[in-house]
Amino acid sequence: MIRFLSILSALVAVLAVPFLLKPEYEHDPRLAKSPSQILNIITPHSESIRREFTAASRKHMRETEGREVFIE
Amino acid sequence: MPGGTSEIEKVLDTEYTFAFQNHWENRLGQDWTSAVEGAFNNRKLNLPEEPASDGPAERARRTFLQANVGVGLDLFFGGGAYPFVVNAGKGYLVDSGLAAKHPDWFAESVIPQEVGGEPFYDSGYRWLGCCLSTFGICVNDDALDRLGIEAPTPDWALLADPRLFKEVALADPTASGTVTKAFEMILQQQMRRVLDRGDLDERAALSEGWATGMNLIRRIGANARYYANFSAKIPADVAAGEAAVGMCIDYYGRTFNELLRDEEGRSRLRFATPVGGSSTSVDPIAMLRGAPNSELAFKFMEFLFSKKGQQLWDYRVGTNGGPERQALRRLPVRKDLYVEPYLTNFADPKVLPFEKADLFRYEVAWTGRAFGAIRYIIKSVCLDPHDELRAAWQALIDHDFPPDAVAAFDDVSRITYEIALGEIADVLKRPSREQSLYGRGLSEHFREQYRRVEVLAKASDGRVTSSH
Repeated sequence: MIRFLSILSALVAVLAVPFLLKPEYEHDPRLAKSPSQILNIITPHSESIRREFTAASRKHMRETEGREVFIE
Repeated sequence: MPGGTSEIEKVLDTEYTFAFQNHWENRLGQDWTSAVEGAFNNRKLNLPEEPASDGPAERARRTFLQANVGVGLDLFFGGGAYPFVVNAGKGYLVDSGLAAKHPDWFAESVIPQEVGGEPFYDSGYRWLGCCLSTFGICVNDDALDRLGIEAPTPDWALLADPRLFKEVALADPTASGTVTKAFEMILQQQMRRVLDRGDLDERAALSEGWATGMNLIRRIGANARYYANFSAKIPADVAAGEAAVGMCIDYYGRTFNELLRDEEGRSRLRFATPVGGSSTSVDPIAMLRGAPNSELAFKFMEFLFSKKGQQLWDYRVGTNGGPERQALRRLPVRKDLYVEPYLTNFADPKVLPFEKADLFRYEVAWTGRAFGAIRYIIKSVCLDPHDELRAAWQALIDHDFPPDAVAAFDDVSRITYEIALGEIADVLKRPSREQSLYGRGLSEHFREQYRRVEVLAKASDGRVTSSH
């Protein structure tokens, strides 16, 4: 029984990974339906700056323009 | 796409060259010659008013500036202002139209065009500063205590203190324009001090200040434990006690100060900007020529310069309009945010950059043309001969700075202000092979000088010595 529960827990953990990573995955430009949704930026900024501005600008575009955009 | 600014500049050069060559040959049916390749992005090439007077070089340049040739990128975001000035000059950056749509944002009361001599945006709006940065010193006070050094208000000269031999963490100026800018601040502060003394005419004062600054930089270089390839290593190593002090950008210093704060609010790392030792400059954003999605790029810029976008730079996590995961500890460029109700939400409400901006005035005319030369000289006199430089400095310390050895060490006649602005600036316009050759000669000159200093210092035993 303990062995079964261990395997079940491991299985649940494996299945949960994609859901736990979903917020990052949502930003993936490969999900864009059209190239016009993708903004290409070249930057030396740190990961934290890129992450925060990506999230905030996507939210802003969704709220003000009703558009889904991706940043690469 | 991440990368240091130097790396990004190389990518833009390569990509725009390929893109324009393709346009020139395949769309216009023209021959791609070395004259065309050397001219199309040459920011120093003056175009005649009448296109009919154009030679082949001018025609290539004019064609590029009128074409919408792109490289698949929309925006260049971040890094110091210098690479933006250079790339705007080359023609890679274009006016996004943001200032035309929001002229009130680019008024003196919101984003001034210039502060303390630093441009905050391009007069043609091809690049716009979106957040601020200053340079300073990150300090591990425990390490300074161990070395018996008191530095409540550190100055750049602290980094040259012989007691800090192998205790200074520096970043490689050849990898980043931002790091080079910090060294430029050291030179400008020394130039200002000599000029303010009032006993020399301006040219002589600038020349003497440059020499003093270069000597200060070489002493700092002699104390350097290493030259890191990425700037974030500096505060991390200082906090860990790997080095006692380091030269770093304000936001790295503040971020590490915050991360390492204990329950009593004490941090292992302190950041301080030397009083009158650094200007406040900007990190810009710009739209690239031929941006494939210019409409979306414009919207991003519009958000970035709105109050909502500007708040992200320094709002605390959890505040309304703040970042989701981590405070960015950068200062917004908009002056109208440094008041309530915004300041309450700032992670750094006491840092008021516009109030302190007058303490240092950046003079672009003094070192702007020498910016590339500064980077090149530091590589040749500090980085390449680092072993010899450290051996000479160690010998000076061990033998209590004998005057003849100090005089030999202080000889900067090979890298004077005049040589930097003339001979070296000219070399930097030549092909990279010639630049490397000249640089090797310069490094060898200083290697030999440092070896001589070491010999002189070691030979001084028994002779009268004096303080450095």
